[in-house]
Amino acid sequence: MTTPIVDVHDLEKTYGKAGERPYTALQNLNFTVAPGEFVGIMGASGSGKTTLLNMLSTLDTPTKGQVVVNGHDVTQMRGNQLSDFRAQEVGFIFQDFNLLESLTAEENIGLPLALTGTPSKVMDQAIHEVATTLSIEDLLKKYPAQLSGGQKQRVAAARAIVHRPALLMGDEPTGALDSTSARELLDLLTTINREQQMSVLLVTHDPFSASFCQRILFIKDGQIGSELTRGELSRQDFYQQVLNALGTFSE
Amino acid sequence: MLTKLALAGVKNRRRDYLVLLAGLTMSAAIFYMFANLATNQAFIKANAVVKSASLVFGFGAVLLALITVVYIMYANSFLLSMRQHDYGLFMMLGAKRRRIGQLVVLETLILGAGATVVGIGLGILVSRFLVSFLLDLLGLHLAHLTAIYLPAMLFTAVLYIGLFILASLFNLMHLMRTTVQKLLHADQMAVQPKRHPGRQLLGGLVGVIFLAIGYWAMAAITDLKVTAIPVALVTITLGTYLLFHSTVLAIIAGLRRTSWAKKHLNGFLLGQLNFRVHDYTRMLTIVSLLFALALGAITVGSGYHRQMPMVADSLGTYAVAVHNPNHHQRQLMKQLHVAHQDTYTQKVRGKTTYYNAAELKRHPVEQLKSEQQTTHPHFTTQSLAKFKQDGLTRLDFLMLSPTKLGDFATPKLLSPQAFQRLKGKTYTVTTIRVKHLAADLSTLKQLDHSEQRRFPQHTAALTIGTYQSYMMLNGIFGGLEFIGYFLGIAFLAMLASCLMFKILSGAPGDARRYAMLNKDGVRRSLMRHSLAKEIGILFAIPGIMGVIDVLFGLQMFKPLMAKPMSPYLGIGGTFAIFLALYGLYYLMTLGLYLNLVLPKKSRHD
Ligand SMILES: Nc1ncnc2c1ncn2[C@@H]1O[C@H](COP(=O)(O)OP(=O)(O)OP(=O)(O)O)[C@@H](O)[C@H]1O
Ligand SMILES: [Mg+2]
Repeated sequence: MTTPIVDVHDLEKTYGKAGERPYTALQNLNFTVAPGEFVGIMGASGSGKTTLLNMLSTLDTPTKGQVVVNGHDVTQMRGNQLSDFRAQEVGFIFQDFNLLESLTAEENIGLPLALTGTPSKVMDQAIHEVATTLSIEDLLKKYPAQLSGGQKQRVAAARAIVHRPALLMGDEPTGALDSTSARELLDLLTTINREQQMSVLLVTHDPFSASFCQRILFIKDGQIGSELTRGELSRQDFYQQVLNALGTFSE
Repeated sequence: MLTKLALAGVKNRRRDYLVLLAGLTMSAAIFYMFANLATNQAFIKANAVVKSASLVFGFGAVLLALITVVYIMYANSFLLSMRQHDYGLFMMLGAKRRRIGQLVVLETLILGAGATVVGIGLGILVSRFLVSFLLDLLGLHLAHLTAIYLPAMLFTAVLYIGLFILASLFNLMHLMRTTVQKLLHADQMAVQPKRHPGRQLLGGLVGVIFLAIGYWAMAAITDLKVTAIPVALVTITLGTYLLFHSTVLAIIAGLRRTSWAKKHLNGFLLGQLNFRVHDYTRMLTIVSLLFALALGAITVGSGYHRQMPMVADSLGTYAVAVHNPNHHQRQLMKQLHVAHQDTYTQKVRGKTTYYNAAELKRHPVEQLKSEQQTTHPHFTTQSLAKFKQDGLTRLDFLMLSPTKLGDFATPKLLSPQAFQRLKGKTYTVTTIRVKHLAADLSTLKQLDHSEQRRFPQHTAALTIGTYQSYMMLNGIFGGLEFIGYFLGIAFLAMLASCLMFKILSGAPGDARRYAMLNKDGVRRSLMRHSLAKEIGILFAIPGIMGVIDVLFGLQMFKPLMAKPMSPYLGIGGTFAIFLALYGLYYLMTLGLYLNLVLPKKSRHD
């Protein structure tokens, strides 16, 4: 077996500062993601999905346990290692886009490259490439305020993949999109996943989005409750299976 | 109910309101301090070396009022930006516009009245402290100066309350006219300035021309008289604004196209600047004006402070002359930094003071080399024969008589034998010239006082020794010196509060943007550098412009600091201290801003 791109072992997260009533959002959580895999994470609201992604992307610290991403034990990282890790190893599509309104779409997309000191020619080339893939070439000179929700989401996606991270994470990236835009974005993620062997970890509560994944992890009470693998099923059949699973899972 | 909700909104943004209130209070306090001097006719008359002093104050008041108007406009737009989302939400949920309007007016007025009252109180306290502190420090005595002055209080209150009434009406109109949708999303709207290269070039040119006119007007103050001041104020303000407006935008646009902009956070920095350029050009103009006024006033004040002793140094051959020095006086004399010291024996008989010619031959009396006034005087001595014709009747020498011109005839020189035989009261007089008056002022003061007690002076119109000349200069120019320092400090405070206020008001938006950058994996050091640069630019541009303004503006004081004084003499030190303070203030602001804006560390590192 190859080394997994994500390896989470005995993860625990307890919220609450000293003096507050502690709340344990994740406990005894274990799972792995293989390189090039497209994995979905589902679960009821408040089940700890965002919390988990925050641990993986180093935006927050686990209370206990081990999180290895692309060979780095993220719980051991400090200071600049953390920010460099976020800038170089992973890509993140936020639910609220996280676009800087003072920069054009092009400048927003180029940010991860600028951070690593990429020469401007290479940068232009890379931006142009992702823009073509996501068909947003004619939006590049616009500011976020001049874009629609779906367009913003695509710009955000472009920024998350422009530096070709080993792992792409998304926290309900289709949450703010209409079904057509959502479908386009998911198709795109699937293509990138397949062509560039980029692992994708997608948090969603929407069965339709989840049906694009190869494997789905269900979180319940801060743990992986069950797991569903697509195997050779068509997307439509998998969709049906997800719906069924959700039905039984929530009971 | 709605009032309750509104109050809850205020509570939630306590810190922002505190910043707002502090800024407004500060400004009211400063205005009061200024008005305290400006409206105090008795004080101005007593210290008006020049007729135009009260006019200068008049223009100063107008200028400060204008700056206050802009300042309150800022404060108000900050208030509005804090509140419009809430009010938009209330409206969306069905609150009546009229009701919201009442709330807005009420909120603005309460805030304004609070700031005015507290501000005047603070102004009184600061005036009291500053007046006594400055007078002590500068060693001045000025009449008619009080901290509590009713007309100034009224003036400040009327101006501020009036402005807040206007502001509240403006807010009312704004909320009545703007759509709910716009109110809700106002803080996310990016105003992207359009660029018209031709128009910008023209604007820049006109700006430079205006600046040139302003600088010329200040230099030509002797011809233009008081009209120079309003002309300079208007043209320099407009010129600075136009220049900034055209160049800042063009420079940002130019830089954005380079590959430099694609490195690290440079692009973000430029985007930030571009994003706020309209706001910034206005603020930079105000700040550079305040900078110039503060630096200019302090330069003039310190110019008098430094130069008065220097000028006095060149006005005579000795600082003090002490008759029959007693033990205490001898001790004091030892403390002086003596450049030259002579002692002569005198005998007084009738109206005439007699000297021993042999003694004068051995220790010739020092003379100022040329009558021309300079701050680097030269001293010589004359042969006895020459001295008899010339030096004997010079005022410096005449004044050495113990009678101090009380009852006097021309002094006479006698041969040693004749001097021995002469019956009369015998005295000795010791003349001391110090290296620099400025270094020995307090000792000289004690010596002069004790000498005056023991040998009273008959006429205050004549000064004996350069120490007394210095005191006379102090009487003439001390008022101007004080006004310079006082205004300088007031403008500096205004500048500080303006910068701080404007910068802090951008903090919430920046905090959001830097949180995003943090999520994108930007190193903290990079974020710190970016912020340091952004705020550094806000400090540097007005600083540079202000220094240039002052260099030209000092021309205006040439008539007031006639030769051998000069407004430019020794300004390097003053500039250096001022810039060091400004730099310190930059670091403070930056520290505060980093604290407010940088995302909290998620890990203990
Ligand atoms: N900063 C925090 N402090 C305290 N509790 C928190 C914090 N963030 C999240 N929680 C709690 O942890 C639990 C998990 O939250 P999380 O945001 O991970 O849920 P989620 O699965 O993403 O839900 P949703 O689908 O609604 O986004 C929730 O009960 C929430 O109240
Ligand atoms: Mg969530």
